Amino acid sequence: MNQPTHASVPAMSDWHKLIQKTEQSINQTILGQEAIVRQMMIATLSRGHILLEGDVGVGKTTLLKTVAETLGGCFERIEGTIDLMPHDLVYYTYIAESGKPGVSPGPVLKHGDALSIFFFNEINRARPQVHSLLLRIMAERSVHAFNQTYHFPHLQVFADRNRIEKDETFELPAAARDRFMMELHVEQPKAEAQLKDLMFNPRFHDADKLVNSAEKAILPYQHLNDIAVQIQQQVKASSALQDYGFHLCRALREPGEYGIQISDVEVSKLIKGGMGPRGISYLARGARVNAWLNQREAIIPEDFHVIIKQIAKHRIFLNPVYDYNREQIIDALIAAALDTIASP
Amino acid sequence: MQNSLLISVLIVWLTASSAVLADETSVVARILQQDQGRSYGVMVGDMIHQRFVVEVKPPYSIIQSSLPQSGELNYWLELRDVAVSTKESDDRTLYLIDLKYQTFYAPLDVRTLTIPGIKLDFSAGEQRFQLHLPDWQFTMSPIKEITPGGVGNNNNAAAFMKAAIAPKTFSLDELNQRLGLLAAATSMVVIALLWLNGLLPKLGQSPFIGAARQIRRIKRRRHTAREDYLACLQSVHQAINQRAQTTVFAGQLDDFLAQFPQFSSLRDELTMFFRQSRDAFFMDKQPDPILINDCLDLCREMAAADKVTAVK
Repeated sequence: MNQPTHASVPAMSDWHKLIQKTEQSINQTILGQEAIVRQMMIATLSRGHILLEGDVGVGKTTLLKTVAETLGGCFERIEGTIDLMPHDLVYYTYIAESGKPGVSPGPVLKHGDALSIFFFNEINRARPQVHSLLLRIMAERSVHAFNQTYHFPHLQVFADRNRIEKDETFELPAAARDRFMMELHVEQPKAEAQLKDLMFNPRFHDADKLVNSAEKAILPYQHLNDIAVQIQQQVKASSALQDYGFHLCRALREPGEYGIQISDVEVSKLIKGGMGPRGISYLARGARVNAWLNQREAIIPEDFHVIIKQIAKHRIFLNPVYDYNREQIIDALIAAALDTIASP
Repeated sequence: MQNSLLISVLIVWLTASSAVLADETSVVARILQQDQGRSYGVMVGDMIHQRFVVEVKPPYSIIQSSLPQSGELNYWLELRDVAVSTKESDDRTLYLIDLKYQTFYAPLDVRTLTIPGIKLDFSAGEQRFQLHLPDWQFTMSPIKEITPGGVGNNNNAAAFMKAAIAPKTFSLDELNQRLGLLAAATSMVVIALLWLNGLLPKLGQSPFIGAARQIRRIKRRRHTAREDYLACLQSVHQAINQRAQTTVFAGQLDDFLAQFPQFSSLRDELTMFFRQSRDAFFMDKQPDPILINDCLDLCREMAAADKVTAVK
């Protein structure tokens, strides 16, 4: 468990350096995931939760652990299992040394409001009851237990799941997926040199040692909320940009209205549900953060492009007829929307 | 003496004429017109139309049940249809009786046949009157010889078969010519309307020529507002998008130039254009007054470099 190390509030100008240092530290520990790390920084500075998915053994858990260690603050981790129940997150019971039964706060409550990262491993192995509790923790950053409400103002939820196994897993409900700001797809590095390094360099063989080698608590977690607010206030969104963002999101919900065509798909009947208010708000927040990370005073359309897939993809629900080819159709839809909607 | 003779002749004439008149007025119903058509050359299967116009004095009217019922009258004659229409006026009622017969008699030689007459009843309260529509005689002709002509013909059905009459053809040349002229005129009107509304695709013309035209129109305005600068930038954006057939953003300039290498020499100008556009649209910076000329020059150079350009 990490304790907060930064007491002083960094100046706005120092934040860029801190973020840069954080990214460098993570990228030195996790090879070939620069784009994912950048997306995670955007989500962190937007105060959004992250869901990672990908094949087995590509380093999802190691990546999340590293990012959690680097961000600082109290960190808790729980493994999703089929017998995990909501109360396992809130408290645990035991027989004390005195022989009497004891009740102690569970992983969510243990650190009180100092909890900054809650890492839910293999989330799709947990039951819907657990997902339901998680919904509240993610949306309201609070939970009610022991006759009082616990608040976690600095909480960010990281979760991961693998898409290979389907046995004894529970698909996340739409409402739960919508609460994740981003769904990031982790793939193994493609560069030959990086793969060779992962294969032969003993440094990467022990994941725990590797995570421990990363510099810890670089970012002052207790000030992340403030910097997030400042970014949203400082970075401008012109009216032309707002028009573009609006039409981009609308095209994902009503592609037929924009003349978008996808081969073998009846576009007017394709979408069952799409980017809602939470989704479009996350898109704007993420775009502002990306503009800020690139040291711009205002958002430009390309800021949307960087994050639109990660924010929109898991929020678009298709007519069941097209669900068999969901990945390809949604990719084609987003690409077509980007090609069709002009700005200015 | 002479006068008395003249008076007596006048009295006799008046008496006779009044008697005739009295006889005329006493007839309740009479046939004013009848038309049975041709009474010869009728062949098996022919329809025979008989029309009678019957005048009836009021208050008499026809008893509907006295009208013949359609159906077979005998083995060769069928009454196909009976139609009666009425025309009333103050002093008479006219009945137009239309009878359609069909004959199925197949004579071997010319034969006289008779369609029997019809008795029509008219009534006025208790009083009745009967009018007789007369019999009608006509001659029917055979449609085939008694024995087939020619040597070696058998007396079977096939022997009487005649060659089918060739259908009469009407020349459609004139109609076709008129249709062609009308279609050509309609097409020309539609094309003219599309052209006047600017909906005609400018085939073979670079989109940058259209953009340059729009920018020149804006340039001619006396006062240039911020919106005018933005409209100039937008015209160039639209031309680039139209040329690429997709939306081109600043970050995709390299892809655009790779796809259309004819614009590679204008990389710096395009980069500058995208920067100006970004500043104006997204950074809310005031556009430089020279911007309109820059956009116009860029459009001209792009049009000149564009391989599809047909008109400069």
